[in-house]
Formats: sequence, structure tokens, C-alpha cells
Amino acid sequence: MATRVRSAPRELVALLAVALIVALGWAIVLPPFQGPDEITHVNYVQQLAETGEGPAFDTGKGSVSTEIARITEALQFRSIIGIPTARPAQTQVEERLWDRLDDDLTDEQRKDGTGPSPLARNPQLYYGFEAVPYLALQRSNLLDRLMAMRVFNVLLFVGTVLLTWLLATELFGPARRLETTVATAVVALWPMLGFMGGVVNPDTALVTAYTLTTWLAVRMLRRGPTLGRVIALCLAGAAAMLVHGRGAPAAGIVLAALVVAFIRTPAARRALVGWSAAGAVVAALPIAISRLALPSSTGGGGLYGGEVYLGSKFNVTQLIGQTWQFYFDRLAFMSPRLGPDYGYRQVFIERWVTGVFAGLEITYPTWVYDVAQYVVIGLLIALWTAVVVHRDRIARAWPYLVVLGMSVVGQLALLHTASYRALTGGPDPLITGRYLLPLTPLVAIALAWLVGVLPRRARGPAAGGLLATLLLLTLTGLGMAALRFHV
Amino acid sequence: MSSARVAVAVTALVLLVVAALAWKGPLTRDRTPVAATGAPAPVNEIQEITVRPGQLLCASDILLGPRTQEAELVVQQEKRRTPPLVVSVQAGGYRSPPVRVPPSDAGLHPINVPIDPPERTTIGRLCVRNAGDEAATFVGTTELRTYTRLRTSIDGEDVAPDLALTFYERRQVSALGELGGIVDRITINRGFLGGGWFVWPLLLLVAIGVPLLVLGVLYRALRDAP
Repeated sequence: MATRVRSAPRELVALLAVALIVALGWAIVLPPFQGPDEITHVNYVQQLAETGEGPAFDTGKGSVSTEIARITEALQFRSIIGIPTARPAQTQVEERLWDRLDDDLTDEQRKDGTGPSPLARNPQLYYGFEAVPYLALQRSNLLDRLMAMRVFNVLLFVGTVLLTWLLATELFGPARRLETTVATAVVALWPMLGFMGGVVNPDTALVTAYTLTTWLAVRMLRRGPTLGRVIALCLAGAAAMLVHGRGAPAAGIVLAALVVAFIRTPAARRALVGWSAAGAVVAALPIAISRLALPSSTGGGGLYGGEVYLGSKFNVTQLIGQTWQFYFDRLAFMSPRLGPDYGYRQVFIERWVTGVFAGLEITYPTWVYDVAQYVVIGLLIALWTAVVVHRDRIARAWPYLVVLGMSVVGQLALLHTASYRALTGGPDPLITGRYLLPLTPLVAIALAWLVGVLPRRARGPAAGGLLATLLLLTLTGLGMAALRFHV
Repeated sequence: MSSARVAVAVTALVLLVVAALAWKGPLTRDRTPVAATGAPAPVNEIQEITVRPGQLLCASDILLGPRTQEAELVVQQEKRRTPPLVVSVQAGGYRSPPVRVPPSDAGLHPINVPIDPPERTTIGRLCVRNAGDEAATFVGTTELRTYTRLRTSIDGEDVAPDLALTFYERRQVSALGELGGIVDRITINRGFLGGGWFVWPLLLLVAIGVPLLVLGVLYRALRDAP
């Protein structure tokens, strides 16, 4: 193990360091509880750590514990969310004020955030992971516990970067170091991933689990199925589903990989069926335990917390029309879209590819999003052209493309269906850019492949331009956060 | 010079030039620092706090200190002008000289009041006396999302809405000029990571280490590419 760590490629070590520094930067620059829904996620961890149970969906003594309510009130962490001119407490006098309030809190006041909480629908794997640092510092100030939780989340982001390296190496081969490096660097420098890496939120863990599943699926296809590889793949898929309801498409990745393996390895078909059955049993066990652990009133942590219930209002034609209008203008025969004017520009360009930070109040200048939109269109055209030019290579890579494609299609299908369902009952489109973060490593792979198929002389400028752009966006995002909260 | 070196050198140069162009404005532009927020204005619905002639409106449990040099209140007078007001702050043994605010226009607008701040940071209160003959209406909030520790009272009786109140410094600073203050404030409320020993090196690593690491990685990858 020690030898393997020492022999790790320097590029990988450097990129892990980049991910660590960037996410720690976000963890430090953002005042406590300024990540998306961070107050309620921290409360979930606290309830799980203190009582062994998460909050309930529609019952309970309070949506957050007395301790969290008091600190967010006393140090003004809740009242500043999304309000650019508001500042949190940032003096030692207020820090001491909290210390005094903290001394008066009872153990019971750390346990009373029992609900109601919409997060009760979330499975418990991520919160269990975050309960480790919480319990390690259980007797310390809440701010210590929060920062420890953020540091653990940072480690998940670093893990995602490592998994991207492994996935890229598996796809491109160890000789194509440029592609592997570019793909990993894209993930390490993706502004929204760094930001989410620095706060307490299961989205980062979902990206890690999703990337792990994809890597294990590709690895099994490359090296051939074995009992160990099939079980590892099934467990990774289960982990993604146990992190969040949005991890459900990981099951599609697992299934696609097993079907492709079945087609490609006729000699091992009988064994593969047995291994798959064993893998399904092993993966079903933690999922079943998790469902039992969740209170029945939570919706059971089902697909997207039950949002993808195809009830009586579900209309396939309307869903297709709604999804079309998310990306393009309405066609004459389509009914008008439900909900606000909210589409790929807001979700893909602003809140995923470039970034919107904290409580959505930290944004780049509009021209940055405009340029990003044209760059994305340009890259899509370039990618399509490269696919056509290299269609023979692409065709040979079909087993891996099926798996990667299933990952993309599954995630988008889930999000669009969930959004449509939500819009049939109200004005909230439900989805946002960070929900697409699990697809980032795949985008990074596509960009790295594009760099790799360019003429040799163009690769340097292309890779340099790509990484420089992401680096500038990341550093600018951190700088904007420092100015927003601390000037 | 190898093509890898050229590519990395050009990338570094472009990075520097674009960063200089993009960041020069935000880093050097003067801005008025927000010293503290008593309570933010409501996001959705204004709650009016009406103060009749002679009444005393107070916002307690607010931060006062050397940086809280100007208080901003928001008034909302339907049709009549805002009456004259007298504003003072007090904390412990400290009491600022009262500041008389002349009548102002009708409508929704902020009133900025220069105050004489205490030399040391402390928790105190700001009071406004309606010195006119008409009622004064201030903007307040009862929204849960803007709820703070601030308490609002009129003539000693608590009222439900929190007074929207922000404190500013009476100077202009640039982000670069205020770097030390920014880092100092980042160290507050960060638990065991909230020391200058950690924050300064980390921010230096972010600003300098990360770009150097990325350029180094790019160089090695291009150099070794088949």
C-alpha cells in the first residue's frame, strides 16, 4: 500500500492537492451554514449522531435543534442567506457571546431537531459518514463540529478527483497520460464541485458514489467480470442510492454494465448470472436496512424521495413537451411549458458549468454566462465533429459508451421527470445545476478525449485554455465569496 | 524550447493577463464596507413599524464597535414626509451624542445616520426618537429567514417586527487594501480552523499554489504525451 502511494503519478498527487486546497478554501471562506440547505443537512447529521435516528418528515419538535436555531440566530448565519448586503457575526465579541449561550445549552437541546424536515426522505449513508467527525468532537463547540464535517466533505471531493483519474486511466489506457490528466484536472477545477466540496451537503458524496460506480462498471468491462468485481459494482450502485434518491440512476449503470458483460463474454454467461444474483442480494441488503431505518412517513427514501411517482397527473406527451422546452423554443403543436422560464441556460450554464454560489447570491457577471453558453455550444459542435471523424474508434468503444450513456440518460431522465412532476403541482421546477454534478466526470472525460484527438500542436493550447478557464472561474468564485461576506 | 514549455508559458501568460484584466476592477474599486447587520430588510413582505410623535424606538442586542460608523434605517412614509428623528447608540457605559436627522421625503428610502461609535467592540442598542409631529414608519421584518438576535421595542414594549438595520464604515476601501481585515474576519467563527496560522497559508496556497500546481501538471502531461 505504502509503495503504491509512493509510486502514485505526480500529476495525480498534484491534482489531489489542488482539490484539497480549493475545497478547503471554500470551507474556510464561506461562513457557517452558507452552503445550499446546510442548516438542515447539519441538523440531520446531528440528529443521527445524537439519537441514532434522522428527523421525521411531518412530525417532530422542530425543523432544527435548539442549538442550531440559537447559533444561526445569535451569529446571524440564517438571516444573511441570499442577501448580498447582510453580514454574519464577524467579531470575537460575538464569538464569545455564542460561547456563553453554548454553555447554557443542555444535551436535550442538541437532540430536538426531530422534524418536520423535507430531508427526512434522504437515505442515511452520507449523514452516517458525517456523524463520524461530529461524534469525534461531540463535546466541542458546534462550530468545531461543523468545520470537521466540512473537512470530511472535502475528503469526498478529493476522492472524486482520484476516482476520475482511475476512470480516465481505465478508459484511455495508462499510456494516454495527457487525457487522464486533463479529465482529472477538469474535475478538480470545476467551480461548482469545489464549492460543494467545502460545505455539508450530500451532493458531493453522490458525485463520489456515482463516479465510483461508473469506474467499477468500466473496469469490469475492461478486465472481465469476476465475482469480486460484480459485487463491488453492485455495492457501489447501492451506495449511490443510499446517499440520495438522485442516486437511483446508478442502478441503470450497474444493469447496463452487467448486460454488456453478458453479451461480450459468452463463456462466462452462466457464472455471470450467478455473480449478478449474488451482487443483487449483497446490494439489496443495505438498501433494505436503510428503508427500514427511515420512518414510514418519509416516503421511504424512494426514487428522488418519492417525487418520481407517476400518478394520475402524469402525461407522457406533456413531459416530452416540457423537456423539449427546457432546451429549445416551443414547437407549434406543444402546449405551453409549466412553471417559470427556467431552462438549460439557468440549470446547465449558470448553475452547473460556471457556477452560482452560497445562497444563489454570488454570481459571475452576466457576460461570463453568455460567453460560457457559446463556448458550450462550440464544444458540443467540436465533440460531434470529432465523433463523426473518429466513428470507427467510437464504434469499437461501444461497451463503455453504453455505460457512460446510461449514466447521462438515466440522470437526465430522472431530473426531468422529477421536475415535471413538481411543476404539475406547483411553480417550483425543483431541479438546479448542482443536481447535474454527478455527470461532471463524464463531461471531463469527453473534454479530455476531445483534446486528445486534436492535432498534436493544438493539444497544448486546448488543454491550457481549458484548464486556465476553469482555474480563473474557480479563483474568481472564491474571491467573490470573500468579498460578499467579509467586506 | 520544447512545445510543452511553450504551451505552459503561453497558458501562464494568458492566465496572468486575463486575471489582471478581469480582477483589476473588483480588487481595486472602492466600496463602502458593511460593518454589521442588525437585521436585513425583508425579502418578501415589509412589516411596518410605526413610531408616533415622541415615542422611542430601540433595536437591542446589536453589534457596536469602531467599524459601525454609520447606521442605515429604512423608512416607508406613504404620502407625508418623514418627521425629524433623533438617533443615539448606547452600550455598557458608552453613550453616543444624539444625532438629529432632518425631515426627509415621502416614500420608501434609506436614512443614513452618522454615529460616533464606541472605541471597543461591544453589544448594545440603537434608539430613534420621533421628534416630529407626524408618525414615522420604519421597515421591519417578521420573516423567519431574516430572523436575528436583534430585539425591537417601542417605549420599552417589545414589538414583533425586527427593525431593518445595517451599519457601514464611513470610508471607502478596496479589496486589496482591506485584505488584512478580510482575512481577520474569515478567521472568526471557523471553529478549530479559525486561526491566522491556518487561514493565511491556505489563502496563499489557493492564490499561488493552485495555479503553479496546475501549470506544473499541464507541463508534465504535455511533455510525456505520445
